[in-house]
Amino acid sequence: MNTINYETIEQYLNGELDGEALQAFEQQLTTDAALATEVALYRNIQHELKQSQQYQDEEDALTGTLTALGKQHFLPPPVKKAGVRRLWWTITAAAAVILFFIINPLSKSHVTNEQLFAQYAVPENLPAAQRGNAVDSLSIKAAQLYNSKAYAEALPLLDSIVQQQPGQPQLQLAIGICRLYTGDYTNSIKNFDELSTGQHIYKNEAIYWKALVYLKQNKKEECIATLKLIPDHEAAKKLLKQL
Amino acid sequence: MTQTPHPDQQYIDALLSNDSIVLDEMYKKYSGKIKNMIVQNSGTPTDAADIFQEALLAIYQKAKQHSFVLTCPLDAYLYLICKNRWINELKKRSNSKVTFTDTEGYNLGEDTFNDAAITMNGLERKKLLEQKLKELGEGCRNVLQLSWSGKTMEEVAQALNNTYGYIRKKKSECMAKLIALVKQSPQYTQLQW
Repeated sequence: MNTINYETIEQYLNGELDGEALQAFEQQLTTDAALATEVALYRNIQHELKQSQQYQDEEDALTGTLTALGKQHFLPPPVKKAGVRRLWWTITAAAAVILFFIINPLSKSHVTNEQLFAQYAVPENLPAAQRGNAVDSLSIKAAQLYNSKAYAEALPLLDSIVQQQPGQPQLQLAIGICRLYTGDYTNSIKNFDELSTGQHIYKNEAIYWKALVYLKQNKKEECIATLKLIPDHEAAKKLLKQL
Repeated sequence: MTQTPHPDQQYIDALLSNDSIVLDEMYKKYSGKIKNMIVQNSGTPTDAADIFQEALLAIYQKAKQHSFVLTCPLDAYLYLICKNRWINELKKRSNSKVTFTDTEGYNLGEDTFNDAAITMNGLERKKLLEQKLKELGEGCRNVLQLSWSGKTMEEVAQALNNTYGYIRKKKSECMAKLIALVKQSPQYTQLQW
């Protein structure tokens, strides 16, 4: 078997061989099965990776949608877990609650709105697409800040990304959440209201977070009324029961 | 002869256009069965979500590369892909013979089996190629990815501050290296190329 000359394969596939060189190569392809297999492999691998690279952005966007849908349809709603370091605090708090009920058996209110908010407000992390353009590097930075709960710092970056590339409901939801955590409740509600009128998978999530803004402000009635708008939302159902 | 698409073709179209409303409907319709099948066979809901997503991405890739017309219900087709993918995953995890309980009992034609096998093959091939591309050095990856970005080889050479002749030679060397890496992997002989 002859040694395969990959540069000639490259020239052949690019249509750069002509005349005698082309004729000789084509003749060799008919008699050398190993070369023919190698040319086919070269062509197929290159074609597949080229195609995959060309629609990478579309595939990333689809992966984002499918990941969000997967969480929604396959996994139980997120519940904030108490950390190990907070174990003693949790035990002390639990003991205090029990004591409170023993001393004051007529009391109905056993969990504060603040505790409920801490339990139910669990923002999903933002994915950080890793490619090379300016918006992507901004996205990575914004996602890092947001995921590390630096909401005040993440907010201007997220705003700027959405202005450059509008129509990204996941980022719009994150902007509303940043506003909630930075105390800008009016604009936070405005964000969630805008988001809840669109046709996308973050619609119910926007309504849920609007309810959490009310909870944060101790507006229990408004919170309950908002949660009732999303009867199929698992976390909303649980929160409603506790309210 | 032109094949008549099954009404479930709308879900393939939704994958191609990333239509989250129709995709949500599809998850509502099919996720339950897949979740049951995987959870009943040593998996977790997270495994089920991952396998379901992988299967959908495999179908998307197939539809993107070849014009894919669905001629059978997506339900059975998707179930078969997820089931095969999960059996493979269980084999990888346990290193022993896998016992699988299947309560669905779809009556599937040979075409559906073949189609699902081709889709699975495409998915595994893509994973292998992407993994091997990562294993190439950064220099090779740059040359190859630039040459696949729609630029001419002259433009690639210019972008990399080199001559056309050098870049063409370098590209073919990098392709040879990539092909060698692919051939050395154990999956190579199990996949169709």
